[in-house]
Amino acid sequence: MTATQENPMRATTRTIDMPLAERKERGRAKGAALRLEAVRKVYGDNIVANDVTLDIEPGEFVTLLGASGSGKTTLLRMIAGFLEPTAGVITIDGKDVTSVPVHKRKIGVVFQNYALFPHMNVLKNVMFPLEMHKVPKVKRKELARDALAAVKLENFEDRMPSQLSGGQQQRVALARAIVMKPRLLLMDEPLGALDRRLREAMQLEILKLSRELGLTVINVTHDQEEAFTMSDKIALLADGTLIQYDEPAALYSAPVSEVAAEFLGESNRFEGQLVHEQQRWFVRADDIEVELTASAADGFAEGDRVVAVIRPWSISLSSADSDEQGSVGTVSALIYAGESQKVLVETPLGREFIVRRSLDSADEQLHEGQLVQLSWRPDHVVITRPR
Amino acid sequence: MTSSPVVTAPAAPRRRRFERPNFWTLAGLPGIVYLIAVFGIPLVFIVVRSLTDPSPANYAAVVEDPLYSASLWRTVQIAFLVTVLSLAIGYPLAYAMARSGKRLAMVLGAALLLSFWTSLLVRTFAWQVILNNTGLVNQFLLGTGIIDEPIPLIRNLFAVLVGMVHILIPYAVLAIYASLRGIKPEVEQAAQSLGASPWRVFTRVTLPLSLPGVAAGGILVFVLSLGFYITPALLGGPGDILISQSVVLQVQQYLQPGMGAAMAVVLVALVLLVFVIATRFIGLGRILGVTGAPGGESR
Amino acid sequence: MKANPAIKIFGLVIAFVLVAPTIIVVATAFTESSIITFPPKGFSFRWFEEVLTSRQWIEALQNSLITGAIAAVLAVVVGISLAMAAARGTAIPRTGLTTFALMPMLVPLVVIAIGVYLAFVQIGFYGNVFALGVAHSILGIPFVFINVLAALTNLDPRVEEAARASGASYPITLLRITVPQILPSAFVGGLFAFIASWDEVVVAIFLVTPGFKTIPVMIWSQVREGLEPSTSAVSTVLTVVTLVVFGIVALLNARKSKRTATS
Ligand SMILES: Nc1ncnc2c1ncn2[C@@H]1O[C@H](COP(=O)(O)OP(=O)(O)OP(=O)(O)O)[C@@H](O)[C@H]1O
Ligand SMILES: [Mg+2]
Repeated sequence: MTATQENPMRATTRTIDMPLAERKERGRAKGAALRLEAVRKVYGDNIVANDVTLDIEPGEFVTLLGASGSGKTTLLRMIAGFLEPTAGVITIDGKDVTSVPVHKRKIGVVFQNYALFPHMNVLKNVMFPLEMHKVPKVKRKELARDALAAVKLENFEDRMPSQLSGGQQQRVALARAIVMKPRLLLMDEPLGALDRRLREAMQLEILKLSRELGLTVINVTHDQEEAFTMSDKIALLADGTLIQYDEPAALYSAPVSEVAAEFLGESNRFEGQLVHEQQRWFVRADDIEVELTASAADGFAEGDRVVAVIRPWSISLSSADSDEQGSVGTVSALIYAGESQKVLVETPLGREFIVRRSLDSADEQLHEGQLVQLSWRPDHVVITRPR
Repeated sequence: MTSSPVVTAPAAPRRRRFERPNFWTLAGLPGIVYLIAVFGIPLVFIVVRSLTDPSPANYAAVVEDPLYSASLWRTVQIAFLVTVLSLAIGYPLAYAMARSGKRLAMVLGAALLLSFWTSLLVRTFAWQVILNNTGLVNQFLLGTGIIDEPIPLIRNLFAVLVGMVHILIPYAVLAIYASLRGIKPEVEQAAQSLGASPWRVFTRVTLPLSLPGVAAGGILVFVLSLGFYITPALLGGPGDILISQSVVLQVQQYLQPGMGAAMAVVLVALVLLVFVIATRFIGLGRILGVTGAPGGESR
Repeated sequence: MKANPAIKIFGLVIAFVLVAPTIIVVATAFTESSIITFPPKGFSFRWFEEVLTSRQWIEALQNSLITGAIAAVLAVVVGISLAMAAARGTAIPRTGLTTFALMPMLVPLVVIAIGVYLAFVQIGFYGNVFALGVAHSILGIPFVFINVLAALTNLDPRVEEAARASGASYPITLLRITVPQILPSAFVGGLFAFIASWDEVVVAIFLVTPGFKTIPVMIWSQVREGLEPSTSAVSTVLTVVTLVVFGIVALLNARKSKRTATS
């Protein structure tokens, strides 16, 4: 399970600076629409992409998220054209490109290890796509310089790639990918090799740049925080299958399965039976009963086996003598993580809850061994199918 | 495409199809065609000639005629001797290179590469200068009064041996050196710390661990010796010719190319046999000192 | 563990014996007398003069240089091509192809020589720089192949993919991205190939004619007739050229290892 440092929901609200609808409006002119139809890739007996169907609208920033080996890179490489699907169709702006070779797809690609041309200096690297697309010689330098300026690398034109730091190399790679103003930008863990601080700075820059250019971006990562920070939509992959494709908020609040819920960060999960009593809905397990709203139960029927998911941020703690509904437990560990505090609470029946609280909250100080009351609002409970 | 669990087609029996040649295979075609044309076809020519000029009886002659079988046998003996001597002399040199300070290692390495690179012909010529009746060695011996008249140091198997060992030592050294460098210093240090004397560390740890290098170097030297021509031709006597000299004689002097071809085939067969046997134990890449070749990456 | 002093001294002695013969030959080239003696009598350039003013020697020198250049160029082109298929090709088993490309190193020179002789003479392809260059290219191919194969396997395939995504077709990618990256290695392999041709005798003996000879062939026939200081002088020239090329290789290697160390 990924340890999140802060509530990923906050991250999303922080960085979306322009409403999606408005961006789509602007993006329509520039970004490409991409559609995958039952795209399949098989290696021997191993199904690496299992009939993936995906619709990406112009100007959207989509992240392919999934565990290692889930098929993210494979999917991206098929979109780029480096790999041919075993079956299925890929269309860009409605045109079938499944058998169009890479160099005619007019896409930008950024690789994890940058893949700069080691025998060319920075300027020549960035000018290469222009040359390949027969941009007139007189314009090449100017356009390349614009691209380098966009990634804030004006004074490095004559350097060789080996003379650049990792972050600088990544900027050159980015400049090279956007210099032709492609309508589709593909990135395979572009920030994977950078340290955390640089990575976060670059996330914002890439996001800003893609917004300005109105690009359609497909980004691969296995860092769920990065996915939430940057994406309009997240495509969640597991074992080659697309298990959910939605906006980050929707993914967070309505995971389609336990696998999805598990992947999107820490959660408290209770498997039990869905019961409907006196107009109220509950998930009933041996040791616990969790109430949820009728809308959360939508699509499920009474008697279904379900998993109730409660996010660590949704649980509040108070002294055990206060009489809110919920359960009681003992604080078994207090872990400080940056601006937040992680609290582990163990119930008398041996179930462990993960709770997160922000440190600046005026909540009372806790100490290990303390008896606390756990409470949450029914509308913070989501349910999903067991794995 | 929806997969229906009911109407699945029976799994097609896996056919062993030819892999589709990709771009790189196509890029390799000119090279393959060229090497076949200028190298493969001539080898085929030899085989064809050996069987048709005048007949496969050439091979019977190679085996039966004592002259030829003697030169073949002599070649194997010489090759064996050269191998043993090159390894015996090369090992200490390789050891000194691998286990001494930077300066000495550089001096030894430079000398090694220098002799490796200078022309085989020139070096063989040098031995003529050194070993002939008025040469350096005889002059020295005469001058000191040890001998009264020059002793014949040239045009005999002794000179051939000297010349070949001199030329082949570097091959042995490079192979042994590579395996000595591959031994982690900690292994020897561990043995030492357990109380083993330097000699015991060497015989119980270093030597066994470097044996693959010794074997690789030995095989290479042996195989190269089998095909030596210039050195035996310039330093050897007329009575004890080696197999490659016989091949040339047949083709150039006796104008019996069929016979020469048959002997060439026997020579190649011998060399390839050694390689085939050797590569069961050691990678070809290691024998040739090539890292990219199969088996070359293992130390 | 350090080698003990006795072994170090033995190593130095052997190292000396390895280079001494070459030094002796070079020294005898500067003698004043008309027979080879060591130590040389007096000091003169007379034998170099004789060699460098002889039309026969000059022609042989030209022939050797041109043959070596042709052999090197052919070996580079063919070696790159073979290495490409061996490194990344499909349909042809890699081990088989590698063994085939290294075969010229395994097959005795004498065998290659008479094979080439039997085949080339049949079509009248002998007695000129092209015939000998082609024949000698066989010997150089493994050197280029080994070097380029190593370079290719160390290349990052993503760099080429980046070029493809930039709009370069497969052939353009090969020409602009792949080849420039392996060219330094191929060049070093080419220098080896040149040397392999430059001092080669056995194959040459079979393809020369009275009107077309190379330096090693001339040395070869002289040595078989008797020892002359002019042979030493030519041998010195031969060795110097070899060492110059060797020096270039060493320089390139030093530069390469410096570059990889800084990046
Ligand atoms: N050429 C290939 N041949 C066979 N199997 C392959 C090949 N390439 C990838 N796979 C398999 O396909 C699966 C998906 O690989 P892929 O590289 O797409 O995963 P990923 O999601 O990008 O993982 P990561 O996060 O580790 O990069 C893996 O199980 C991998 O072993
Ligand atoms: Mg991947």
